[in-house]
Formats: sequence, structure tokens, C-alpha cells
Amino acid sequence: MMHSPAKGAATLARATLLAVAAALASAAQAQDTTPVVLTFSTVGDSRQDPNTYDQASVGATLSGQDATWLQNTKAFSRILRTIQSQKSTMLFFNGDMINGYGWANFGYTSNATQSAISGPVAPATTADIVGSDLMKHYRQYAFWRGMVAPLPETGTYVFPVPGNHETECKACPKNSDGQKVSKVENEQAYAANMGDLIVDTARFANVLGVAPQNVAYGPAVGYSPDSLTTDQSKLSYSFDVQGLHFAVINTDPVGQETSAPAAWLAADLAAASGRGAKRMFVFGHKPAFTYAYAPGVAGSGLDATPTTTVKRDAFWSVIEQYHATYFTGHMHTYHVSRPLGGAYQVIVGAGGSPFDPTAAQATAGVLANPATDRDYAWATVKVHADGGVDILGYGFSANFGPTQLIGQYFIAP
Amino acid sequence: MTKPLLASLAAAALFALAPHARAATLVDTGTPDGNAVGALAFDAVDWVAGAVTFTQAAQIGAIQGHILGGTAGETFDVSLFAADGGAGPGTLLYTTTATFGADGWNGVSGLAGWHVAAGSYWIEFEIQGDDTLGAGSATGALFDTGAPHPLSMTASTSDAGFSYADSPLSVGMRVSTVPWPSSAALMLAGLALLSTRGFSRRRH
Repeated sequence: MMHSPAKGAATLARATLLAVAAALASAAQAQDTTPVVLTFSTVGDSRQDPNTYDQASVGATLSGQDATWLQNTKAFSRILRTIQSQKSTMLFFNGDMINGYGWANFGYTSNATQSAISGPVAPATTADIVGSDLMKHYRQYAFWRGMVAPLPETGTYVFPVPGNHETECKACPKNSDGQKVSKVENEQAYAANMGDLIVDTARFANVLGVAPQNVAYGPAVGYSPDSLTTDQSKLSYSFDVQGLHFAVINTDPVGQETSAPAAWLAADLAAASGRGAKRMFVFGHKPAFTYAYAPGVAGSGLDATPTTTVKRDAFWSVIEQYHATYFTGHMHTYHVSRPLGGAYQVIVGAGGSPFDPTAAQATAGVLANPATDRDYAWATVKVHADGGVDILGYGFSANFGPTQLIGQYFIAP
Repeated sequence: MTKPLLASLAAAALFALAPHARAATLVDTGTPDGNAVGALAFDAVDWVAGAVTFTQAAQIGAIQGHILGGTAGETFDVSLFAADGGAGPGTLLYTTTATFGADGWNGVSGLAGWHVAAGSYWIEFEIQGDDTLGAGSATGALFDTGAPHPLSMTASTSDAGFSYADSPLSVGMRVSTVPWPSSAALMLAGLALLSTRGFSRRRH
């Protein structure tokens, strides 16, 4: 078999950059010799895009399957297989499991590019029903659920996190801050399709061998400390297991898009702290701090606008206060940082969606971390008995090369 | 010094040298860089194989890979495949279980009966259902990269089973023969000298 010189050069460059990364990382690493008491994995954004898919990675045309169900099946299924082999006991999926982005309300239909939406129109034909946003949302949820269904059967409980593609309507008028708006019907569709996982304590106990403790759900209608107006009980939630605290937050609730429920989270983490939680891990879709993977990258996380940034600061102060680690998606790349020098933000939104760092940017040599910016990637986290935490980034290149350890970070007890 | 004494000394020297006879090295990529970050995942999903060519018939005695992130006593599998599978390993010829020692070269030695004719083959490292490699470490097992003389063709699980053979992976692999030809020759020479000594004594 012939080998492309260009590929060889690219591989050499990748190896060199990873070696440099390894050398830089080694100074910050430590070896925790106490036993690993819990292993979990986290990734987000497996949904495919029907219009702007990454042709450099998945080819000039989508497979019929992925064009219909809008998943990057090849990348996501491979990630899931490896997570299973890594014997993670939990998988937190950080949102955008479906392309969604419609209005899952009766009689609404977005066009093919989701630039316009029509309705409400009572469906008159089967095609009207099948082509409706409501139907598309449910269909895409079902496919994703089918993809993750084997995991609990092999010891990995799946926790969903809502993303903007689940909650927001792309073609609907934006809010006064220029943000896409979430729809209560979309939140309800999410709850209908994910609610059984949040939190099935009996099933969890069956998978992990221990039951989750102190399960808490997001606020119901009218009781939100963050002035939310819709039922958040299936969109934000938390629990303890083995002395560790896990919290999932909705970063695009109706009326407060692109913001985290900071007040709810503060109370939740305070309660966990009061119980003596050894470690706290928070999962949300949108990053608190946008990763500038190339010059000119605009804020797309909780720092998207000055208004959202004020709320972001309140959220991050909670994360810092409790020394939590924030795992997130939304940006279709991999990046680990300590934005303010304390708590970690781990972006693992590279579960299959079209990469934000483009092939053209890679070719132009402008990517901040060219060895990993266009990797399909996830994090597997190991918590040691003494409270030390290994955050391990794994990934494979856009051209589906071998899986590599692409990052290793240690949080001391 | 008498002839019988010389013969005895020579025999003793040959016996002493026999165990130190070296196996022929057939494949040696050199030692990779030892960095965990950048190394390949090596788990139940991710295996690694390298294409090797033997210029003459040989008896494989040892196969090793440069592996990180294991715990002493954990196991993995080492196999030899025919190169009749198109782009990757074909027919399985031999397989055995190896035991991890420490970060570095790990594999099997003292193999018996792994005869190969001259030709091309694939050596493969895999974690099967009963194997334990990587279970006891934070990173899981990793196949080290950065070998100075990588094989010209490698395969790993990544795309569609064995078919993947992107730019060669710079994994560390070594293959050597059973050292028996040189050992046996020395042993036979030693026995011959002892016989000569005994014959000489009987004559005197």
C-alpha cells in the first residue's frame, strides 16, 4: 500500500506537537498512587449538520443514514466503544445530541436550512406530519437513544445534558440580546425523550452497584432562584455518588438563553459542600470561556455578549468557590484550560459534529493547537481514593487515525 | 599445559558461553520516546499491528512492543499473522498471551514452534476479553510512539478493522529468533571436545 507524503508530513507534525504538549504537561502532572474509586467519561455534540458537515472529515456527501438521522455515526460510535472499553461507570453527554433547532410545537415546520419557519398550520397530510419540527426532534432523539442504549448494558450509565440544539429554535426571532430563543415545547420534548434517564435511581444502582444519593432536580415552574419561568426539573439536576457531587445544568433555559442557573447551582453546591462532598463536577453545554482556537474567533459560550458575560462571571465564581470542574461542549473541538488560574474548564464538544476549527484553518496553519483542535475527542476522568483527579483527554484525528491520549491533567487532592 | 587440560578448558568455556548465545534480531524499530501524551490507546477496542518481512526461514523466539501504562502481571496478546489479508493482517498463524512487566519493552520470549518461511507477516498486539492490561492504571495501557526507525506499514483499529494503514505509526516493536542454532552448535562443539578428552584419556 502506498502512503501519501503529505499525510506522512502531517503525521510527523502531529507527533511533534503532541510530544511538545507531553513535555509541557509533564511538569504539571503528578502520579496519584491511591486506588481509582470512580471512572467517568464526558463528551458532547455528536449531531451531524445536514448542510455544513465537515467534508474534509466525513466526505463530500453524508451517508444516507447520517443524512436522515443527523448523527456522525462513525465518530460517535467509535467514541462510545472506547468509553465502554475504558469501563467508565458514567457518561455525561454535554448536549447537542440532535440537530434539532426547530420548534417542537404542533404544526411548525422549518425549511431545509432552518432559515425560516412556518406555522402554526394543522397538518393535512402524512408528509406534513413527518416533515414537522416536532417529528424531526423526536426522530433524532430516538436514533441517539439507540446509539447509547448499549452502554448501560455494559456498565455505563448515561446522563444527558441539554444543549442549544435541543432547546433553541434557529429560525424563530432572536431575543433582545441577539441570542436565539429557547422554546418551552423544545424543553418538553427533551424531557419526554431524556427524562427516564434523569435520574433512574434503580437502574443507576443496577449499573453502578451503588445508588445515587441526594438526588436533586432543577426548579419547577415558579420556584426558580434564577427567575426561570419553565419547568427545569429534567434539564438541571444533581446527585452524589461515592462522596462525589455531580451537577448538570441547562445553559439555554427559556427566557435566559446563554446563561447558567448560577443561583440554583450555588445552593446546590453549597448543600453538597455541607455534606462533605470530596469533589464537585459540573456539566453544561456552553463553555463559560470561549476557546480562541484561531484569530478572530467570536465569543460563542456564556461570554457571547456583555450581558451574558456578567451572568457568566456569577456562574464562574460559584465554580471557583467550590473548586468544581466544569465540563462542556458546544464548541466542536477539544480544549482544557484554567481560565482564571483556578478551576478547570474542559471543552469536549468534539463528539462528531462539524469541527469549529476548519480544515482550511488547519491548512493555513492558524490553529492554536493544531495537533488536537480537529480531533474527535472526549475526556475520561478518574477519581482517586484521596480525592486526586486525573483528567485524560483521548481523541482521534479528523481522518479517523488511531486513538491517542491527547491530554493529561492532574488535580491534586 | 597438556592437551587434555586444554580440551577441558575449551569445553568448559564453550558450555559457559552457550547460554549467552544471542538470538538474531529480525525487526527493531528502536525505542520510542516514552511520553504518555501522544501515545496510542491500547485497550479492548484499539489494537496495533506492524508488517514485517523475513528474508529467510526463521523460528520466532521473541516479540516485544514498547508499552506504557500497565501494571506488572497484567496480560495482553501477541500474535503473528500471514500477510494474506490485503491491506492488513490475514490468517492467524500463532498467538499467545504476554505478561506486562514495567513501562518499556514488553512481550513474549522463549517462543517454541513459531516457524515461519521467508516472506511478509504481521505482528499484532491486542487486548482480548480475558486480558487485563491497563485495568490498574489511570491512563490505561498505551502503545508508545516516536520510535526512531518505524516500520514501513502499520495497522490499528481506527477506521474499518484491519484495513487502516495511514502513515506508518511510529510504534516500538522488536522481533528476534530463537537463539537455538548458535547455542546448539556451541553445545555440540563442547560435547565433541569432552568426547575427545575422554578418548584421549583412554588412550593414555
